[in-house]
Amino acid sequence: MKTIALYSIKGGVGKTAAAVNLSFLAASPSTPSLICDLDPQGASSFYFRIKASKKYNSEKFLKGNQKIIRNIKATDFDHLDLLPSDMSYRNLDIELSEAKNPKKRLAKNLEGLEEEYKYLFFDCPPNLTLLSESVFRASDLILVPIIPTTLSIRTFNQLLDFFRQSGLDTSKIVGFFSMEEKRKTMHREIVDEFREDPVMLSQTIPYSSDVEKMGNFRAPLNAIHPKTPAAQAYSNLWDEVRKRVKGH
Amino acid sequence: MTTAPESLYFRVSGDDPLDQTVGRNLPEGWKITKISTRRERQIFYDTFEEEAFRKGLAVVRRKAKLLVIELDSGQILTDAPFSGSPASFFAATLPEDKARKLLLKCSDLRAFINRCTIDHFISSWRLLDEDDKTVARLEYESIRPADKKSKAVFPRHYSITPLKGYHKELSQMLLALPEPVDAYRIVSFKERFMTIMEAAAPFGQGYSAKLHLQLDPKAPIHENIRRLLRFTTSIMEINEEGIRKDIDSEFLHDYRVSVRRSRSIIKLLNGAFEPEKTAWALAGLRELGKRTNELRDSDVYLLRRDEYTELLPPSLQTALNPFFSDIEAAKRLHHKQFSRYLTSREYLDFMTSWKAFIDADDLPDEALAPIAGQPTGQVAARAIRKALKKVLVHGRRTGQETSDPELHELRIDCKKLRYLLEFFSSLFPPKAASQVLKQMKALQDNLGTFVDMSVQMTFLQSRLDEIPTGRGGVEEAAAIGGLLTTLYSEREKVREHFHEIFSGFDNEETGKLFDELLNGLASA
Repeated sequence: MKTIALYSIKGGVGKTAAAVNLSFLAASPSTPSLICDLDPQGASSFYFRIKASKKYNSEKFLKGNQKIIRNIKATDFDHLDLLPSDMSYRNLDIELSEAKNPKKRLAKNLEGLEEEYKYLFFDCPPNLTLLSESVFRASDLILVPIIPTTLSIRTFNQLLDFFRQSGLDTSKIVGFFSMEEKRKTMHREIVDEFREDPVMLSQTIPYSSDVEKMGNFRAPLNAIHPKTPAAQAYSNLWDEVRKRVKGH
Repeated sequence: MTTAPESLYFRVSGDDPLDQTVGRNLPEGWKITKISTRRERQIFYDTFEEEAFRKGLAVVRRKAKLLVIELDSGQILTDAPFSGSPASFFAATLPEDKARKLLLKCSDLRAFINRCTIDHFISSWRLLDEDDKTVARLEYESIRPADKKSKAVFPRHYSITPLKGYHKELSQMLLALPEPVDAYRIVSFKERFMTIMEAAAPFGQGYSAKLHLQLDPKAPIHENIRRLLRFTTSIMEINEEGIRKDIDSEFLHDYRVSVRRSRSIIKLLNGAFEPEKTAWALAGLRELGKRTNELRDSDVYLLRRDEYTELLPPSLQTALNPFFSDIEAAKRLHHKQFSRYLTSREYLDFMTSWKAFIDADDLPDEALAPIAGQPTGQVAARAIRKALKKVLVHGRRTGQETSDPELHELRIDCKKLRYLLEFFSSLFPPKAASQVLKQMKALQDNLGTFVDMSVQMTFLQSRLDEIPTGRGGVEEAAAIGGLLTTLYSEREKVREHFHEIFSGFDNEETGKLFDELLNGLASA
């Protein structure tokens, strides 16, 4: 099983859209996939029309394994399942800090999913907390959507610094430009600047109203409108991600 | 049939459309929508003796694949690519994989026959909750026979497969399904399979060529022999079609055993019918035996193809090809001849008169048929004792060199004894007959193997005498020479064992076993 985290310190950068579409693209008969919604806002759960059952909460998530497996639900798409989030996830950090060995907790809790899934996606909440650190340790690849602006690049560098300081493996981090608007000079320049940088994937995701509309039709864009430019971009992005994650 | 084990299957007996039957029982805000309708052709295979079914398996061709499904669980044990939709096939012709292994275990001799072909119409639906999230898939299955002329009516089913994580929501809905229960009854894969088989054209119908007659020891032997003959005749008739269609070699084999059994019993229990009538019947049966000898020989050698090939060094293995293609040609010819004979006036007339002979229930004149009216138990005891004595006398007389004719004759004696024991087995205490047969087995195996090998050697020798020189003739002769050598040395080993095995049979234990068996009969 390969674990891919969609992560960004900033919110509203296209994390969930990427998680939903990439996991949809990853799922196939030979590569059953699971998307694990860690954001208490539950956006990816919402996109897949899935609600956690009433008894499910962060406590169960932290208990791990069987409690997790029992709460996984099938999406409407073959070979793609989802572990929904719950509002109680907002307390995950506090609960995690009280747990034993919090930074390795997540990796341990997800043992047992290995048999069933080939790809596991984390849709992470936007912040840098103990939970994030636990995600970093549990992931093979940390995929960071970046809006091509100076501020976003600064935040991305902060993340790299944090990794170095914490003794984490920076080679796990891969960025890609998200919500790119070609008509904006700054976007063009920044994308150009990173063209040869291996820390960045070459495929960018354009800013698109089609992606925004996912909230209306509540399904992956690639499932509903696979021919749209944004969907094509996700498809190419997945090809790149798949190759990267294979190396890990 | 779909086979997801987590699916719940319901049998539908009403005519209401699915969206109504299921639709009206949905929780508030839920709905069902149709996704697609598709047709799937499925062919169910089994041998004539339903050996797959007896092993708890269903063999189904679906979407260019051959599925082997465990009946009890509905689990697909294997699916192998399978092109075409043959009327029958042999397990041995499948590619080396699990399907081949499983089917060979069912039968390596019998062909798997197209048991029934159905068109399966499946409409797929989604069950959506109030968020339009799919919580389950529904499949509505209706089945029609692929043969438009068939009037078979198949039951309809629908299945509900909850999506992962939605079992709880669904079980509430299922509980709400209305009575009466018979309209909504959960059915297992096996049950669905059985209903299809029952609705399909009759097939085999628990066919078994094994004799299981319940005889009344006090009834006149005349009556019981006729019962046996009715059974053997029915076996002959059941197998005629399979012989004509050349489905597998077992049809002819069972047919011939029945002919031989009939003939043997009439001869062994001489005096139960008027000699004039039996002479005619025996001649007819003999004719049937003769007419099928060569066809059976061809079958037997073709079945031995792998065995022969493996006996030879690789360099000589292909040298047998001309030998086998000649046998194949001979088989085609003999098969054509006998198939034609089966539909000929001569054969039909014989069978009509033969059945009239069996059905004539008046006891024949005592002067012409002295034992006809005697009680079966008495006749049985006498006949078995006589046959046993023959086996023992001939066996004991067999000299140190154990000549071919001696062993051949003894084998026939044993077979006769066996036919009698099988015929009368219901008169003995339970299991006693099978115990005696077990006692005889080693001896019969020894003699059977010996004679079999002798026959093969004669056949191969005659081929050797005819092989044309030139064009691969030398290689073939070498191959046959190789086979003869092996067969000869194997046969001589069998011969050497004869005396040891015979004394294992000719002992006090056997004597006691037979005494118990027959004394019981005489006093009955």
